[in-house]
Amino acid sequence: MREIAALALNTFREAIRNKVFYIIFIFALVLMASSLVFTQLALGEQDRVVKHLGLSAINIFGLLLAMFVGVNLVHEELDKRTIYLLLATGMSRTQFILGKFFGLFITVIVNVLLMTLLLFITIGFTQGATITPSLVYAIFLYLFEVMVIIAIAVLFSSFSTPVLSAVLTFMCWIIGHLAEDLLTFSERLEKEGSLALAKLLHWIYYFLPNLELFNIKNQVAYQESIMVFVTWKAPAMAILYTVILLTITSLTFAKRDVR
Amino acid sequence: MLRLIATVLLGLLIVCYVFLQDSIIERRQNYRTSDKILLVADRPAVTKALALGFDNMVADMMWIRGIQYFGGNFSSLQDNDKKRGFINLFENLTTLDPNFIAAWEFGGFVYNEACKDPQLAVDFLSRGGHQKGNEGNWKLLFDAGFISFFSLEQYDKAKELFLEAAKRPGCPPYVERMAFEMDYASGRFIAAWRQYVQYAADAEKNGDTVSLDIANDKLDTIYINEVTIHLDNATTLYRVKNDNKYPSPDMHELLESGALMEAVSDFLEKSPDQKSVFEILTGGTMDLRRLLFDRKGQSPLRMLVSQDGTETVVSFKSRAVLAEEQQDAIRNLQQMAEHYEGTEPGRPLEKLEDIFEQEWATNIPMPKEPLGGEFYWDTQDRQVKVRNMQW
Repeated sequence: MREIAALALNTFREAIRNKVFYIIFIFALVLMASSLVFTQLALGEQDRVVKHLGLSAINIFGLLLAMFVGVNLVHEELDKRTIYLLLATGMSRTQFILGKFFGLFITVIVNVLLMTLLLFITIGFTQGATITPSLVYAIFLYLFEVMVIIAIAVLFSSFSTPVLSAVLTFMCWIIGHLAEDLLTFSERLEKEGSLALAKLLHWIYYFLPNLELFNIKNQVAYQESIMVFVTWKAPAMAILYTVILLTITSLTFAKRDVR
Repeated sequence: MLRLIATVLLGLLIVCYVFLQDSIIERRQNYRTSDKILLVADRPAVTKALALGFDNMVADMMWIRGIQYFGGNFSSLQDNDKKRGFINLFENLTTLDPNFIAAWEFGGFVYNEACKDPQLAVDFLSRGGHQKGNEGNWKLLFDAGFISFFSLEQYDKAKELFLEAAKRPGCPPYVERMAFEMDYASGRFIAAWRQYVQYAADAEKNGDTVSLDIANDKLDTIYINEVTIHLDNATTLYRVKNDNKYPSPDMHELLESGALMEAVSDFLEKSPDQKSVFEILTGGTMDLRRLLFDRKGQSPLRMLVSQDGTETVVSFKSRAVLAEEQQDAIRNLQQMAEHYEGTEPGRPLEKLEDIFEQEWATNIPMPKEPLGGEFYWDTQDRQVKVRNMQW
């Protein structure tokens, strides 16, 4: 456990050294500039515009961070051969994967928290806009989405090159947001009589992460409808899916020839 | 030296790039009406899938695009391409976020007032009012009801929508009252009048000049339509007693002969519920002379008698409206005169009639001067002017 914590902390420090927090400045610029322009044009809808813009920017920047840092996590250690040092200290490959995962997750959490703070400041300066519990819950739930994305990125990076890992992770993110359409499509196929294909799509649907379950940013403007989405089940599902992915990663990486 | 050449070359490349981009945009200008406003798929379901979970942010971008586009194209949204583009935009927008009440309201307003398609507006607003999650909103159904009543004159449908709106939380009591007012002509006038007075007050409070103009135009139209009933009746009575002669444009004979008094008395005797309408028409004074003036009691009304084929058409307009029409006609004629002088260099325009002999203007009739005078071309000032105004 201590080894995992040490490696996680080290991964976090490394991320700071790699200046990933510069993303915050870009975020601040994008958020403030777009809020300034769009809220002027929103004809009384400033509140929803600034919230949706802010949440979307947090989502996009968080995703980019998780994806591009995540796909390099294992590869960099292999490339620089620093993994030998770690493994030589008696650290297991599973501990290595977990340490890397938690290190990046902490980095993303800190990033998201800073971006959230900036969003709250922007909301404070926007006429008619208020910080609501639904906004906080949307960001909280987003952290679970990003946790799944990191797990996917780490899985791919454990057996593939960074470029391919990035492409695959991005595709998983897209499919993850379209997973429910896959289910609808499978139901339609079943009605049309293509039972085998429908069954296959149904299985694929359960195999893929349904990222829409963690996406409530569309409900943020409607405070009253948010309660439906407040449930322990979505975070629990994300944790479960992440554990499954990390287990697979650990098994894959255990067999990998690191020489 | 090499550095200088490189800098100049870079500058040239940038100029070429800017020039090329502008020329491509200019070339495509005539074909861009719809795609410039849209940037969305024809099928809202596809747009929703493409939004990848950022549905409301995309909806917000469409909202901003929609209101900006409306601001610049308010008077030309009847054009088929623009109308189709606007409808597509709002279909996409409301599919992405079906609970975006402001978008439903605004879409309904634009379909009715700018696209001039009230049926589409009623369907759109009703659809918005019946979306899951919008059950707590009464305004969408009220707006649908109001357009059904005022623009489509479908009073039963309007009543049904008003009653449905009245059952929703927060709906003010006047909505239910309006539902029952749909059963009577006098009630319909009062309902429309009250609503547009409210619209005008709200628009003035919010500094919304477009809506204020629309509300004032509607109030003028409602007023003239109602006053016309009494002036028509009085004119009929007057003509019976005066060898079928029409009164003069200022209609003073209707008052002096007592025809107006007789017409109004007959009308109120047959329809006593119209008394409250009459009160509004006379600005609460019940003074018959007010019927010969516009809504604000400031500009006198004029009776216009014209011939449409074999039929004589009688209409009533306030002098203020006619003066506006006169100014519009002067502006148009001035533009045509300048165009004439531009296309006929060395042949200065002598008289306005010459313009209408030009090939490009043969299908355009010379406008009639709305205030009973005539337009002429002042060869000294090179300006279109008016002389011999009768009113």
